[in-house]
Amino acid sequence: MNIRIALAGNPNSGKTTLFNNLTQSNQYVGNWPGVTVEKKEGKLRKHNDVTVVDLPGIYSLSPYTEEEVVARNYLLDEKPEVIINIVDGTNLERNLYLSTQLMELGIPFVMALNMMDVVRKNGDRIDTKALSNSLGCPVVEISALRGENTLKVAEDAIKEAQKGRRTPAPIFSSNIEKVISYIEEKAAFKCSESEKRWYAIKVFEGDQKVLEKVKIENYALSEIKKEVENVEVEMDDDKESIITNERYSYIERVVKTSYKKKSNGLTVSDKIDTIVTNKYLALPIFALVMWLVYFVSVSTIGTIFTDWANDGVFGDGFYLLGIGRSAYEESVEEYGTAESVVNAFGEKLGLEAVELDEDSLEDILLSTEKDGVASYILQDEETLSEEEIEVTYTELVESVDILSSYNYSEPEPEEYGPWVPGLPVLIGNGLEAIGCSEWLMGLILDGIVAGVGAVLGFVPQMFVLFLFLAVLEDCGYMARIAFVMDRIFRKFGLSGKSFIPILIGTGCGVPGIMASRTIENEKDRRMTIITTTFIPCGAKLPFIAMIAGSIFGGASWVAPTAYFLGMFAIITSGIILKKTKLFSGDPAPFVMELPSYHTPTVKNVLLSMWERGWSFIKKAGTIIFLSTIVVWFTSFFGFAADGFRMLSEEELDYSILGRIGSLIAWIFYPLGWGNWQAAVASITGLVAKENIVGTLGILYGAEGSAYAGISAAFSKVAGLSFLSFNLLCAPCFAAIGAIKREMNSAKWTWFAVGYQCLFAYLVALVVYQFGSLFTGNVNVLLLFVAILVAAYFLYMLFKKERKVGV
Amino acid sequence: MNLSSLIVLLILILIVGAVVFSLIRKKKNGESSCSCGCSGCGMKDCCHKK
Repeated sequence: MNIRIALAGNPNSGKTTLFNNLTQSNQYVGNWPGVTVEKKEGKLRKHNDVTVVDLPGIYSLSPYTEEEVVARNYLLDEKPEVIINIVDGTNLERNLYLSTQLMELGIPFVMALNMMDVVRKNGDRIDTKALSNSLGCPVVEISALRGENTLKVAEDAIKEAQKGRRTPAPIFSSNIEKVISYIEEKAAFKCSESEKRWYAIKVFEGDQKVLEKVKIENYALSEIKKEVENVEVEMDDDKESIITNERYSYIERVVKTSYKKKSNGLTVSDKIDTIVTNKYLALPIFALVMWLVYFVSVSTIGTIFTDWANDGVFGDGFYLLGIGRSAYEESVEEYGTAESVVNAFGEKLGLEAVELDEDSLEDILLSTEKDGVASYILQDEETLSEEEIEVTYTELVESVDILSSYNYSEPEPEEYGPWVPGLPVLIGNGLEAIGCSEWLMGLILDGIVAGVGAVLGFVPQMFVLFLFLAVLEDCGYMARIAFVMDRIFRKFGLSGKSFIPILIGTGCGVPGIMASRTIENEKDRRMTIITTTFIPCGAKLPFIAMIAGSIFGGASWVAPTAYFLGMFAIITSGIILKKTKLFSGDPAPFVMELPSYHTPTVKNVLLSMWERGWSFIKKAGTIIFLSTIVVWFTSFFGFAADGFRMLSEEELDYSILGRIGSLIAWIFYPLGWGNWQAAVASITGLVAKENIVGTLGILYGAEGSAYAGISAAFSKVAGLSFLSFNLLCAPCFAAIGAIKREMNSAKWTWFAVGYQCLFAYLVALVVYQFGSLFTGNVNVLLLFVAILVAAYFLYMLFKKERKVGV
Repeated sequence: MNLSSLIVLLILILIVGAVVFSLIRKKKNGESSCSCGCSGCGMKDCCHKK
């Protein structure tokens, strides 16, 4: 017999955790309500003929939200053989409200009492046997998180399905029961006997969707309405509230016999919440947490591994376990300084180039006076900052001795420890050994390896960021953020419901945009879709890290600033858009249950980190790989003075990409980075945001270190403007596709993309022009435009909201 | 172009072909090219109805 088990329960009661346990799936489990929007299906382990269906979390079977519609339609139309109702034991009364409705459907029913460990920890007591007797259905204590009794509840459900036993529906007070029986009789529902009660109650409540479905004869409907109105008058309440009260009276009777609460004192979660969601402390705590997350991911732990990946695996090479590295670095520095000293004196003697051999150095020593001095410029490899160093004859003598001790050749890394050459070295040596053509070597080394390597080098930082985000999600903190933000959003006419998609968007914008479908208010939903991708997704992290490392010398404030810039853009855009005709209106109500804090499970956290990180690696091997080939071809081929040919590294300005970039670079001139390389990097970023890094890696890496090239091409203010623009402008094509699907309108999609690009452009303009005031590089006309933009922005921000007529 | 370059080029073309093929197959299967990784995504079933 094929059996379908439907898992139904309140949001965040543990349905997906139970589903994963029963089906051995790895569905995404989030510790905040509303993670599951669509139903999910899987086969019960050890039972191939049993399908488990995970339904979205719902509070009732009323058709008010998308999740409720999905769950209700499944239960009514697909008619599963049995329902497992997952009940959060820590919130028994409220969870039973849905149970009373599920029991009315006439489908065999088993209750899984979850989170009993927390109930016991709180000192509360639930008498499962008494609860089972009162409800008239099997009740099984489970721990979905630890997998305790999960298979037992499924097996009990199978037994119930095989028996086909209908759980008795809750009994209401006699006058209501009388009307329900009257409706059942009068409406003549064309459904099975067991479903009649549910339909009758919905007709009593005046559920429009049910009324449309059951098509009651007009005369019967007016009779029913009259009866219901009589009850409303009699009980001095509206029909929906009457049923709600009846349900709660029933629940009260059930709970009285089976539930004992220890005390009304605060639980640990409550105590933490008094601080974490405190009116004054919530925001500073949130800012501190996110600052720490981005700081640690990009500037500390992440950097150690990323440096290894960039300089080692995708660079010259690395020492196994770091053995011999410091000795080698010391030798390189010693040799380099000695060479600079010798070159400085050679230059003073008028030599164009100093040959590093015994005779040439002997000549320099003999030709230099004993009190002679010389100087050389010391340049920082990454920041390109320069310092003049003065050296004496004694240092020259020492330097000649040093060079002689190295036998006049640079130290070889292999001589200092177990040296593993980097991929470019290995591939380069291999291609050279087989006599590969120069252009093909260029494509592979300067295109694919440089481009894909530039992106993959940042994977360690991404893994660290995803690990932190997974911990914050799993422990329950992220749900608090939505609650805290709702308090702030509401002041500006926005709903905290818009914040859930933003939280999801920190991983990737696509599911973030999709999550907006839980917002019922069309205007708020559109606004959320437009603003969700302002938050830096994982794909933007390599770009943020590259800008932080190359232009800001690895400054720790850059990555957290990028996150807060995204938040700033979301909040200000929300406030401004809400004041326009297109989006004005009252904020949607936001009811959210704060889940209890719990220690994140290692499996959940590592799985979440791996899933997200691995998909980035896969993306680097597909989309980024193809993009780097296109970028290399178009940047190393072009029309030079002697026609179309392959170009040298100094001729890239004549390349196809260079010509196209030059055509559009002027657009970005007011933003401070009107060079073609930055312009094309922003455009290739539309394919995937990691492409910005890949493109910059190819274009600036052609002449040596990409970081040095970027640092030379951008001032700090221009770098900040470049960062702002690319963080806020239109997202990647995948996200634009998601916007189109969710908006279901080409016009609204164009509006969203247009708004994002314009907003990004104006923010970058203001950043660069105002920043230039401090660097002294002011363009009066553009500064005036930036002042006008900032003034209009402030005006829109503080302007009184347009009131919509009711 | 010498023989070794030709072989390297052919290998590269094969890899590019395989990548393009896998992207087309993903697209046909209704899989999104987003960065979240489907099994780690709460919205998976919005993309994959079956």
